[in-house]
Amino acid sequence: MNLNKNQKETIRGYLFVAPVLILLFLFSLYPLFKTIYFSFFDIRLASMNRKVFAGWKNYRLLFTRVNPSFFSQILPATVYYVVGSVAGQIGFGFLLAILVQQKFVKGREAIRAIIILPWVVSGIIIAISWRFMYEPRLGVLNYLLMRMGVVNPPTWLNDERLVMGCLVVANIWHGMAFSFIIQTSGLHSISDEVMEAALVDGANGFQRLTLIIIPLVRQFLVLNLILTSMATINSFDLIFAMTNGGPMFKTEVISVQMYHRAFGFGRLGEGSAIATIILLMNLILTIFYMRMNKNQSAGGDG
Amino acid sequence: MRSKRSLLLRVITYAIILIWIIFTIGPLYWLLSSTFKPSSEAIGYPPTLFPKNPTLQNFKNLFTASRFNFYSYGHSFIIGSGAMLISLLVAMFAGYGLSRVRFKGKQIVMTTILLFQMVPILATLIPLYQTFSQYGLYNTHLGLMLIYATQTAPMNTWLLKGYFDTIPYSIEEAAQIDGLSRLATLYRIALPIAAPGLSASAIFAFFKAWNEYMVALTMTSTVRPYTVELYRFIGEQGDVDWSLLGTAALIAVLPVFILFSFFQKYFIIGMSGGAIKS
Amino acid sequence: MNLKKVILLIAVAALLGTSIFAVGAKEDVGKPKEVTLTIYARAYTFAQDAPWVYAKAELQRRHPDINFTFIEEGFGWADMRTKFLTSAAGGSPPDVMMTDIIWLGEFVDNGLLVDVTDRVAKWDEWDDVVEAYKDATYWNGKVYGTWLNTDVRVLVWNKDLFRAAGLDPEKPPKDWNELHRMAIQATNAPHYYGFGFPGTLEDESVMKFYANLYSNGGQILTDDNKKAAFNSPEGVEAMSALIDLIKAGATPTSIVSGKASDIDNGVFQGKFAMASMTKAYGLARDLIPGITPEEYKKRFGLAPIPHAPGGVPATMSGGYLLTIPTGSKHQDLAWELITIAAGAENQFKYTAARGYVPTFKSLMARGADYVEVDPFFSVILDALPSAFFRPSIPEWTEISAEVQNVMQALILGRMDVKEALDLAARNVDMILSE
Repeated sequence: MNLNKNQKETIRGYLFVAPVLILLFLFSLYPLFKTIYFSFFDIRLASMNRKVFAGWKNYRLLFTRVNPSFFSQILPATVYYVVGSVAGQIGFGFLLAILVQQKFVKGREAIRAIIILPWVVSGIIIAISWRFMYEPRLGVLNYLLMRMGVVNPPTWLNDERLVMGCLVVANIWHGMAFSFIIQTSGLHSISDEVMEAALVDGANGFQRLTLIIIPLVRQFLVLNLILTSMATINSFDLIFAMTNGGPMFKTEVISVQMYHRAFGFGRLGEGSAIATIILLMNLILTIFYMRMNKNQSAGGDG
Repeated sequence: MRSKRSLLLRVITYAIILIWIIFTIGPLYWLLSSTFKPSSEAIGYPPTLFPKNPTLQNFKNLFTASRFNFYSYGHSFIIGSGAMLISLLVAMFAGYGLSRVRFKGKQIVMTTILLFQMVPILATLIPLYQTFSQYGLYNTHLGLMLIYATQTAPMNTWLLKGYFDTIPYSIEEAAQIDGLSRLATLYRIALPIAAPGLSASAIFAFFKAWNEYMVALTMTSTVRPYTVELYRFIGEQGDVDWSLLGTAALIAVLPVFILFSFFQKYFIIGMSGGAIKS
Repeated sequence: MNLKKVILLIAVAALLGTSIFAVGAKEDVGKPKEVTLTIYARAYTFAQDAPWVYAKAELQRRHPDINFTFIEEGFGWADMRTKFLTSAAGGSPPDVMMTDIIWLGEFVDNGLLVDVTDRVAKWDEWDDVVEAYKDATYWNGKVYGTWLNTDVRVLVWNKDLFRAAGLDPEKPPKDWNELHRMAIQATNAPHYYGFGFPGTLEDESVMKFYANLYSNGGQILTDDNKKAAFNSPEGVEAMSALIDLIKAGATPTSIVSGKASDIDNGVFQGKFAMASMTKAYGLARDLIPGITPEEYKKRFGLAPIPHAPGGVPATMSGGYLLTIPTGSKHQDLAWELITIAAGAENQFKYTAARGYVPTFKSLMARGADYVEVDPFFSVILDALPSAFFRPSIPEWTEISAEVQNVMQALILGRMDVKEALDLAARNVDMILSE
């Protein structure tokens, strides 16, 4: 009897997750298999019906090409972009979610709506308007700086050292809303009693944050971390429209490189190989986050 | 002592929020102010912070001379709403099942679902195109809805699962004892409590679809969303007609912004209140 | 329950919207006289009357028995190629494709375009096409389309900035040495600079180098298109002519993120004294509202691109062909639409409206009718005989990207010219040898 009930529960459980799994298998897994399959062929966008088996050649090309070099150009650019964007988006998202949540804050709805505004605007418009704002001679940014008395304002996207920072700022501006929403819903899951208890206990702000709030919303933070990291690794449109990977491959992150190979140069096989590598990078990162989460929670609960 | 500290806290809080709001609005203001400038002023130097001679001419041009396809907003709206409904529906079931039902292999299923979030859409674009044109999904609203729903379903599943987890099971158990089935409990009891989580998921799913460009470009011919249509204002050398682009963007942002404000009032604020605290 | 109401509201709105818009989405096939023609073209071509509005109306007039439906898909430059390749591979190509001349080899070699050699032979306007442009439509001895328009780059200078620098506003530089000297003299950093050229990763950037290269007697690839030739001594001089302007401070390094349109605008906004570009007058009218031809002539000038000392005048040409993709179900009607859209009468309207250069002999003779396009249009027409094309080989996109990359390194002063061009040449040889 008991076993039977368990079996029933199992069937019920799978019925609940069946719709999402069907959707994912059809529109994500199946095309993904095809992409991985393509990655072992010499296949051109212009002649997809003529493909020649190439073994590991497409993968070798990614790692052996010198211009751009994977290890000294693509990887550092990707890491810089992802770490900067993720830290900025989640950090500011969490901070603002907590601040806006404070009881004394007036006009909370309006503030939330404004904070989420950049997210409503299409990525293309974001990219071209930020590029134009950064423009050193005609852009509004340097115009304002010069009005404020700065004699030699930076050249932003033209400066090898600044260009990635510029992209990260634009990306934080655009994507922070996502983390803000997740963290806001996370904070909603904490009851007011807990919040108030923390205040009454005399815990100061920072202690309250680390000892009481963070453990309670940890699941939301980890999920946020995983999702934002993946979205940043996979995204290409902002960089594509603002610098197209330049100058000198300083902003050639791996997804932009994939776009260049697969679509720009029409080498679908190589693009597919890079896509597979992106997938692996995501996988490693996710496993890392999950491990970290597990250790943390084991330590905290024990 | 205490009040002094709390005053300081308030000042700092407001200061940070204010700075962020300025940072948020600045670029948007600059883009949208070009809506009221003639194009020579919009790309001119020095840039003008306020339109010198505010004009509505750009709206007139957009509606008459530019031949902008205004149906594209409609397409975007349909695709966005459809993607949102599909994503919410599948994620709600899965999230609830993963939170409330104990079954073998649950952990594996959960991880599998999340792993789908890491598939770069650009990588699956060509295979998807081939499949879509084979099965008549090319250039349909449904096709794009399904792709976008697939893009957001994994994270929405996790988000809702996490949200259901925070809701005490005891209320639902009581309801089940009263004779309600699992589905009925989900619908009548868990869903209303999960409204804040649902609202977040809905917003994600909608905006993901509303702002997407590359998939839409590849998968549509006549049902093109507005993001693709915006390319009309980008010229031969990548030169941009700022005034018209800004105007078209404003038209895209405004209704969504109003809609969103409406949503959050109902979802995040209104619904979360009493339910959890009880 | 509030939640229910909201969900219901969304559902109703979505359903309502779907039913309204879905009607237009489905194509109606079935009736015998219904023909649907799909056109892939740059988005901006659909925002004006010439060529498509006129061409569609004319085609409909000629075939009163057919009920045409035209599907217009407008694109940005890179997206147009991607979407075309994708749709061709998926078996649903358009009926008319606006093909950038540099994509010709790639498309034809992969069997994506219909050979129209026999069709042009029967077309009475074909003989009117300028010979050099006729030749450029051939690939492996066959014709694959006809020109919608071409463009040609000339030097534009800002006479106000020349005057401010004490230069004669009516005397533009003739060769590189004069350009170098005058650009330095016209510079007043950081307010404005003597010469501007784009440095972003796009073909328009390296076009300035190619023009210098041809002027100096060099060429981009060897005659058989099998090896790089731009790293010749002539090539090094050609590139140095640009890079030396940066070293001398007459061009800012910030052009690395400057798109061609930013640089071109800069001349009219007083940010650069000189730059080479197409469509000067159109830009001037956009940027300076109400500028009259007289005022324009007073403030700006057009001249051939300065040539190499002792070299030949040279400039670069590009442009678009209208072609029929393989797999189009209505090739006869598609060709008819093309001959109307890209015929001399329509080309005049199109080029005159946008400041492009025509490809018909009969239109070249109408330079006076183009004053509206540019008061200096004769300068542009005079430059045509010295125009060169980039090789339209299938690997072009990739090859040009190699040159664009080293050019950015050179602008930022990270490499020596010879070293950079050799590096690019090695990569290009590798691409070509595959």
